[in-house]
Amino acid sequence: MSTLTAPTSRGPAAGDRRQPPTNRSRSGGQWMRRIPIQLLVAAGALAMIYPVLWMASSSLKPDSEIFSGSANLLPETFRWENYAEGWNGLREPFETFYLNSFIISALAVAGNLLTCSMAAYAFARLRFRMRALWFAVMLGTIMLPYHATLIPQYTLFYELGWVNSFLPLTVPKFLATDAFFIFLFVQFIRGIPKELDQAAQIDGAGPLRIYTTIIFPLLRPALVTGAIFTTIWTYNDFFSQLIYISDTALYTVPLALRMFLDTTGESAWGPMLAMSTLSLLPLVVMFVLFQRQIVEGISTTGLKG
Amino acid sequence: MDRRMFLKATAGLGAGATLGTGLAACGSDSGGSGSLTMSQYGSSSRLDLLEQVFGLYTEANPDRSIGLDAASVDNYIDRLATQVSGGNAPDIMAIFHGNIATFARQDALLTLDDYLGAGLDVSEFTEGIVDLGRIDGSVNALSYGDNAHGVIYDVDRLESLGMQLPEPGYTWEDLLTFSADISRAVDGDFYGTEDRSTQLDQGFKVWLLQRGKYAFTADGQLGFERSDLEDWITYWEMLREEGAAPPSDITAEAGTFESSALIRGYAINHQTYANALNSMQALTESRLALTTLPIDPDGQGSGHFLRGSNWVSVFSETGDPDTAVDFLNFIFNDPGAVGVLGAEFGAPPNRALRDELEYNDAEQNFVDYINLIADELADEAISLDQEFPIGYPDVNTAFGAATESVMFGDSSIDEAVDEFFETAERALES
Amino acid sequence: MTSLLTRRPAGAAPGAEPPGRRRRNAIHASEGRWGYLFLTPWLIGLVILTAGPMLVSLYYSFTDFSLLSSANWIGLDNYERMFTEDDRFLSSVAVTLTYVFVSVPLQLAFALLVAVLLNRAMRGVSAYRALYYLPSLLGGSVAIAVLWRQVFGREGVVNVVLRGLGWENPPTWIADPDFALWTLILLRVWEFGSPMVIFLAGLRQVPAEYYEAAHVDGATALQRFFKITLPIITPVIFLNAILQLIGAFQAFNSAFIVSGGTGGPSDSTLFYTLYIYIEGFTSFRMGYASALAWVLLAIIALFTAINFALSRFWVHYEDGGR
Repeated sequence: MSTLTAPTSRGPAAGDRRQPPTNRSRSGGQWMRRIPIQLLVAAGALAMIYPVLWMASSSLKPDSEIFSGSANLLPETFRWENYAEGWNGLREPFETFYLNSFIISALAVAGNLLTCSMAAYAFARLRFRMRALWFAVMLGTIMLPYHATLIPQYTLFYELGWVNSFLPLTVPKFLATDAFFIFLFVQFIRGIPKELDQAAQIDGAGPLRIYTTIIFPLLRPALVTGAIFTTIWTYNDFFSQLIYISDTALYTVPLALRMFLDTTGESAWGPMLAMSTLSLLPLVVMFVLFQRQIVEGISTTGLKG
Repeated sequence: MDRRMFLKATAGLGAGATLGTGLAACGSDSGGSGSLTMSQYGSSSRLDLLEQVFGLYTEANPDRSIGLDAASVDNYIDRLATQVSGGNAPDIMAIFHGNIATFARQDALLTLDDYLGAGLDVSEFTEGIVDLGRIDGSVNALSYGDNAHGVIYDVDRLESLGMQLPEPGYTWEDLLTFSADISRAVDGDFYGTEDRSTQLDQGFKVWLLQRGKYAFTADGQLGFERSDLEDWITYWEMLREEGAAPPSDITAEAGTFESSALIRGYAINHQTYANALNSMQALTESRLALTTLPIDPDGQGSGHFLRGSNWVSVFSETGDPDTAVDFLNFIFNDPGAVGVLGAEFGAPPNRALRDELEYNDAEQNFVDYINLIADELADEAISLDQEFPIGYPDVNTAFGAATESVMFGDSSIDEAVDEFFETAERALES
Repeated sequence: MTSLLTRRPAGAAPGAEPPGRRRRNAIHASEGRWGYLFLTPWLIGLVILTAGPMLVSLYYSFTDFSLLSSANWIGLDNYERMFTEDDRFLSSVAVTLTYVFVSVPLQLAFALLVAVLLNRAMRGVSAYRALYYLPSLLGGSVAIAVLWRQVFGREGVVNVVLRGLGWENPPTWIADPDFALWTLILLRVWEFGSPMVIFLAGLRQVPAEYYEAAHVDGATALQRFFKITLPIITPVIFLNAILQLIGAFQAFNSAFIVSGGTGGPSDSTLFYTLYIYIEGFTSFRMGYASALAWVLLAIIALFTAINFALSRFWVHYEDGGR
């Protein structure tokens, strides 16, 4: 993994040397050749999102039509009530669940970005005793399946009095327990030219200043990537939210979605699919807004050698 | 090593050294007197009904309150086990029938015997229903509702074929004949019965009891022989060959109510616990109705027996067992509470109140069916510790594996039966 | 994994004037302190939140802990049982290895292909990226169970198409023990958004002048891809491979949701993690489940190490690996 170190000849501002960015100044001949690819990409996209389209269309069907085995995308009967019933049909209005999910996600993002980047900086740039050992331990913590540690962790949080609050879901993020992101950030930091650190060092800057004035700002694109992955994973993380939250006023979106279903009793499939469809919206908006950041971000930091 | 001690030590370190206990702002309170928590799985509408009952209880007992701990049904039991393991289980807990014996054997559930007739009135209950919840002789759980095995038929479909709902007393032979007729009468992928051969805890138990046998003996061993299982698998193999039951892929795709062959439009019936009727009815526009499973004309009795539907227990370490039991008494016997819940959890066990309630069509059909079973057809009830002996999950898995392997054509009946008995006996030994 | 650290250049990078020896030692002494200072949050989290529970679970793996009552030490019995008499353990290993070694390469190849297609000037490319990312946003949503039946069920859209193409009686993919695992592999490939994003980033790195030179030489698009693009992005492929390998070994949600928690039909989708869950939370053998978890950790560590070792032969660094 010495892999992703930056070339010494190109600084982070060398984005203009990369492949041409999207623009429309192309000759007609090129356009002609691109049409098949455009068609291919469009057809692929359609196949990719068929299940999502089915979900959206089923969110407008009555339950009896959803399971009659119809592959029709167009509902026979439009049941717009699924949305109203979904939004207001649970024990709290859906905005409560959105708000709870947003709070947890925002705290998780803040925690992950801060503490994982700190740890990553130490692993990538600083030399200290037993660093190799700690790094191996860090990777090892990603590898143990969480069902094995669930019980001891629950007991721990219970003894701390944190059960039925957001604390078990957020405080660990401020202690860099999502080692996945440490690993990711280590790779990104290696892509930041070392000369920058060294120049600052010669100016008398210590590690703290190097981290705050050089590494953290230059890591920003990677941080955006981390923020997006953290948001999506936290937003979708059903199991730990289920274990730690009892009060329906503290319920998050995935917990709420399951409340529509009762495999031993009555389920409200239409409203569930309606709210599932809606619950994708914040993530889609976020992705659309940030995807340029991710792509440009990663490329300017330099993920490669 | 005592793990609680160990965890407390690390926990103390965490709280004291780094984070400060002040952070635990919204931590759970440990049940002061009169304020209890009850956990329940299920849909939002079910939880709403339960909260209405909590409200009624507080109205009647202003110094007491019950808080709801809601969780989705899929992961309910892992969550509950985690809570019990952490010493933080709800005072009162809804619990699945398959888990009661396990929890009780590990002393997680309060023994209710001392309260029977003294704080917990079961005098109006169907006879024998309380004994279902006996684990090693003590009552550890109560069922919200009486239940039984049954078959749900699509009556509209039957009538369109000029047929009637089978009357109780029809035989397994009859089921084969008219199911094959139905499959023939309808074009395409449609079958006269679904295939429930792979379920240990469904029709198989009724089939066994008609032969005077139980799935498990009272001392936790297998209660049936090779020949019983051979006959069972052979019977279903015959149904599949005759086209009376669907091919394996339709059966394997089924799991929950909405994926059952009946709801997906592949079969005319669904063999399950009778209390499923109302939930099933919500998933289809066709009219559904209940009847019994077939009988064995050479056998004994109907093979049907009283079962529970949804169950409730009290946590053994609750701080206030008296209030917990008092609430159970309320939810079972208070006319207001029973009126709110209706048939949501099954046919109310208090027979006097059951008869007074009003029901929708599906619920009424279900209640009539249960009354018929309980009062006229049922054999003696079997307690949950006999239904679910130690090692049950492995036996259940082995049963599914053996019957499925025949269904998929992967092994002969002989091989499958051998495999089952070998695995099951080993599981029950340990 | 240690190659990450040992192969890293020690001290200053080439070109910089090495500082005097004394000063360097002083810097290193303080660097050590700073290193631990930056690691402090992680170390606290490790000691209290991660290592504690991990050690407890390691301890459980030598006990008969049932989740509901206290644990008794039984030595190596759990491990012995796993390797001598547990057929389901063996089948879950087989299922998981198939899943990992089919889905990871497929997912990476697919993610790379789409990234290449979307790494060009094209009308609406941002929208396409979002569309291709959309499935990944679903994650382990409950809706997946219904969706996947809708796609691969008996009357699913796949079979509707196949019947249209003249295959009269196609299998019910999701309910057939021979095919059910493959639908989950496709589910994983379908949710390929994260590696795609990282690939896109890697592709943006390839210097444009390389392509211009190749263009002059008359190289075809395919040649350009294999001769220029692929070698340059091997470090990114490697990063994705490691992340996806670990992720695939730990996959749980898809099998849990699609099979209803059973691993069926006929254990054909019994993922290793699903088996851990079933042992721990359905059969209440948490001791045994913990032992399974530790064996999984060993398996993942082994394959990660192999991946690192092999990377020397196929991952190319522009700076020669320094």
